[in-house]
Amino acid sequence: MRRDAPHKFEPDGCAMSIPPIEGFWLPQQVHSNLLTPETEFEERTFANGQPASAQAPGAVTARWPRLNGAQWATLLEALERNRSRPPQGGDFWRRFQAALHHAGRRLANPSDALHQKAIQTLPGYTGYSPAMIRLALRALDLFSLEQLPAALSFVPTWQAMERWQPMPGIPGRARFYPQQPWREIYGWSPILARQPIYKRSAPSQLVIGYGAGNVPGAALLIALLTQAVSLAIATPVIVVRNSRHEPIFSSLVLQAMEEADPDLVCTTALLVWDFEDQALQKDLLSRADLVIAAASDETIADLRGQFDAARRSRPATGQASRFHAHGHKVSFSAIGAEMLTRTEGDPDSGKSKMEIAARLAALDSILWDQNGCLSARVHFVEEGAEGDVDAEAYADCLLDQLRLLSTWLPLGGWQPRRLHERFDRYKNLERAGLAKVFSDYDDEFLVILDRRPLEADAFRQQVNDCQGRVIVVRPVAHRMDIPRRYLRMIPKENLQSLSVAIGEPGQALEDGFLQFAAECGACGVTAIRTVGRGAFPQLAYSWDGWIPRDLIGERPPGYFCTIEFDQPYEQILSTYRLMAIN
Amino acid sequence: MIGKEVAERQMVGLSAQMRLADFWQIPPPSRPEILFQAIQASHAWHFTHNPAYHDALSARRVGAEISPQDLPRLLRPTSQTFKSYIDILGTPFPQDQPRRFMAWLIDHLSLQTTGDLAPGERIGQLKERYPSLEALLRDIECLYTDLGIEIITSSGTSGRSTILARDQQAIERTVESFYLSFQRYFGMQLDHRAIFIMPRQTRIAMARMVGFSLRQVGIPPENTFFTIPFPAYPDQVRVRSGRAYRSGWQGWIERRALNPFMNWMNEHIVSPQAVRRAVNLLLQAEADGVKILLFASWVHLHGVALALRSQKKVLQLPPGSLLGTGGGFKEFYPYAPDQIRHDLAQSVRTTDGQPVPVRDVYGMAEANWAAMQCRAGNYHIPPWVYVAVLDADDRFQTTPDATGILAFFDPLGGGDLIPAFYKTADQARLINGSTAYDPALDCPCGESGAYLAQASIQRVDLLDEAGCAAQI
Repeated sequence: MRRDAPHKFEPDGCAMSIPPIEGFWLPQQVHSNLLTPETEFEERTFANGQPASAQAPGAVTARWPRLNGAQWATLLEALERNRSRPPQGGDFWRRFQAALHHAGRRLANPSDALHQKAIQTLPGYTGYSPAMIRLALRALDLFSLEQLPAALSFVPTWQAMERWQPMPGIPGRARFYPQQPWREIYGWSPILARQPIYKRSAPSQLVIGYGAGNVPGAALLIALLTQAVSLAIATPVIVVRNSRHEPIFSSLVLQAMEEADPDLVCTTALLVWDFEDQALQKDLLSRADLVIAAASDETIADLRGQFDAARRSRPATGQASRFHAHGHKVSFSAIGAEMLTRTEGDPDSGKSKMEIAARLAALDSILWDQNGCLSARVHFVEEGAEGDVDAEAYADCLLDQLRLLSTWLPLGGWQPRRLHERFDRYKNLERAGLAKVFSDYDDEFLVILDRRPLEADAFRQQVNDCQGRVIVVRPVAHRMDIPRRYLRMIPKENLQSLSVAIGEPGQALEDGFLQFAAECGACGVTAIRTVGRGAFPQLAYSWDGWIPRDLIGERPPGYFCTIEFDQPYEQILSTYRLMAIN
Repeated sequence: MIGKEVAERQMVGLSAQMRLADFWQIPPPSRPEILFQAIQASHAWHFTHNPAYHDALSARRVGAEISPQDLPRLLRPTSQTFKSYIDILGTPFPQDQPRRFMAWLIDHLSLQTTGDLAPGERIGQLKERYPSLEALLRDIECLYTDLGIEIITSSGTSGRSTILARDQQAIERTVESFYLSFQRYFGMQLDHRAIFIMPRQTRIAMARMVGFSLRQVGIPPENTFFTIPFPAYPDQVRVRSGRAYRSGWQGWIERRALNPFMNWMNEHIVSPQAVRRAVNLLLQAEADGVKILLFASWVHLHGVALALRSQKKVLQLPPGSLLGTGGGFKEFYPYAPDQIRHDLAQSVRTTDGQPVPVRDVYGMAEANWAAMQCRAGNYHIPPWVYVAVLDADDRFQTTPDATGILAFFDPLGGGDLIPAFYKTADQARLINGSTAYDPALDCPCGESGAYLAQASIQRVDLLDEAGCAAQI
């Protein structure tokens, strides 16, 4: 697959000039009252995912208002006044689902103006291929909300520190890893162990969110999760700082939700402002009860400093304020020996278990061109006695699957230069017999089999190499080697998800798996899901160690790891059938 | 298929026909064709003699014969080609595995088989381990004296040095290349006094070549001064940079004792002393009425300016004097080059009242050439180097004014030992490079041919990354 021409994201092959798109969102009534012809706007232009001039081919410009102090005060007052409008409890839930469904339907419909606007702007602005964006637009329904009410009412106890705790009404388990070692005493006493981890917290009045990066939807995730607290408490004012690298998608979804039910989103604002605007930051952070920051580690450290300073400066109210950090993360895949076989895995398609696992694990790696925190970097492959093929056969199978998927989801504006450099590097290792490269120089991905035992520095370097569709297949003799030899070499705070292809048909979560999951959790993994779902985290489960209960309750420092399934094989099969392409 | 013998004949013929200085006589539009022929011959030679190059290009589906469309595929990245021993050995310390390191190095060289003991067969004569990288490199140079091999390194401030070899032919070509550029772009002549705020003994490529080349210009040794009295061996550079330490107790000592001590020494003793010596030499040159070339890092040049300012002294040097730098910024140095230029302009002037020009030099360990900054501020690529910029898809941009990843081919100056075809880790705005030439874009200094626009060179690893994925 030699690249003959660069991707130029001119929708449907036609070059056109697109007027600046709104990279912010305000409730309609607030929008019309707040923004005047005199309001200053900031613009950013990207083409093929890179900063560009407005005249560049395929350039897309987004704009957002630069509010002055008086406008900010007016905005916060208006949103606060609106807090009486959103419904609560069951009524909220029914209307919220309906509105989200409406937005999902519009975005998924190619003849809908909203879908067309997204397809005209998102590929050029973010650099992801139109096919990738189309998939995201169709996938809004995959962010299942059905389990969110049960998740919000889940009250974990300190037993979750010692063993996996079921979550009533939701498949899977949860386990808590406290940061304070003395909390272990809760595990020694049956009475203490039954105590809830959370304590009651005063409802949030103002939530400030920060979204970053160019993977669409970070700001939306923050907005939707915080809106969903209306199931349990009054809707807070929600102000989310949108990413300058992708300010479009979240705004479009909120626009569609407002059409369906304006009351649901009337306390929410999505804007862009500068972290360096210290007066504004201090004002917002001193008012906030809850800050949710999805950003780089450096930005989060900076924000946390600002948040602590702002909190100290505000008058004591007795009400705690919380800071949820979602920093830079890495994710992995684990392929169990039971999936490393050519025996039939899906009676419908006749595909083998290995093909199914490889297809879905490939998907976890290539979605968002491996730029996402959820993207699987290394595929650990268990070469146990159960499998009838080895990791080399898996790498071969993965190569076939990637070739197939790449025609369906082509690489976006990610620079082939980096792929080429990594190709050269691993080819050099191949000459020394230290690794094997399966893909070609001109493939839009790289598959490497690497059996070398690595020191921590070298392993971390390898993990860093795995971006832009670079997948390292690393064999392990036993699945326990994954946490014991490898995951422990990654800083805990940087670990995120493990996508697993593990389990036999009809098999539930058995002790061996739970032990494996517990060790992964202890290394810092915060979510364990089945392969193919890596890029579609479910809102009911742990997001970087925070569970939905964290939005309405307080707990000691630490993190949750959740398993997002009860019967892994059945879930894998259903994902495969959902994603089936020929 | 081109065989080894044909490739050898082509290479010999090429070297005999071409002198580097002749390229200035060739009009810019005619240069690419001549250079392409040289690249073809050089490629064929290396493809048939250099195992690492052969395999890297075969993996890219390139054979011994090439067309102009293949040129981008000949480029290997400077950022990894001669650092790849780290991957192969599994350690950045070659002294721990000297024989494997030497095997790696030989693998990357285009060597002719001779009647003597073949290079690969001598590896067993190296020791099992060496106490330092410098000790290993000396032993290698000793063992391969007949090949005239000299090992050079990058500045190594990342803690992971580029290590490559030059033979006598490559050294001569590099020296020729540097001195031609010094003469043409800096106006260096015999009557200059050269002052280097750098150590005489170093393996750092650019420092070494600048020194050699000025000797070639004809500046006598008594008119060449190195003001840093201590050698800068690769191990010392590594420890002082604080980016890579040995493991175990040795690393503990490096981290806890040697690094702080060396940095303290550098800051409080070595640098002030080197700057003081340079200032004294400058004052002497002023008194003698001799033109000077002062070559130093930005930080040391600033040290000179500040030292003169503290003495309330404004130097009056003969016109033709020059201040040169090859970069060298501490990450935390609080002054930008513009401020340093300003401070130098206040303290170092010519007798006709003008500030002494400050010129930068752009180069790298892998390049046997350097781009000298002209009086208009642009960086001129020597005309015997084929230079291009790559787009995000690793293809040449063919417009006469293009910005991208800088790549170069040095088929004549690069020597026969290593294929000098590289893509760098730098993004730059290239004017009149590749096959594109627009006379209207010629540099205001009057020089025609390819140049890098002033202030356009940027390390690509400093550019923004997308997404929320971590770099650990």
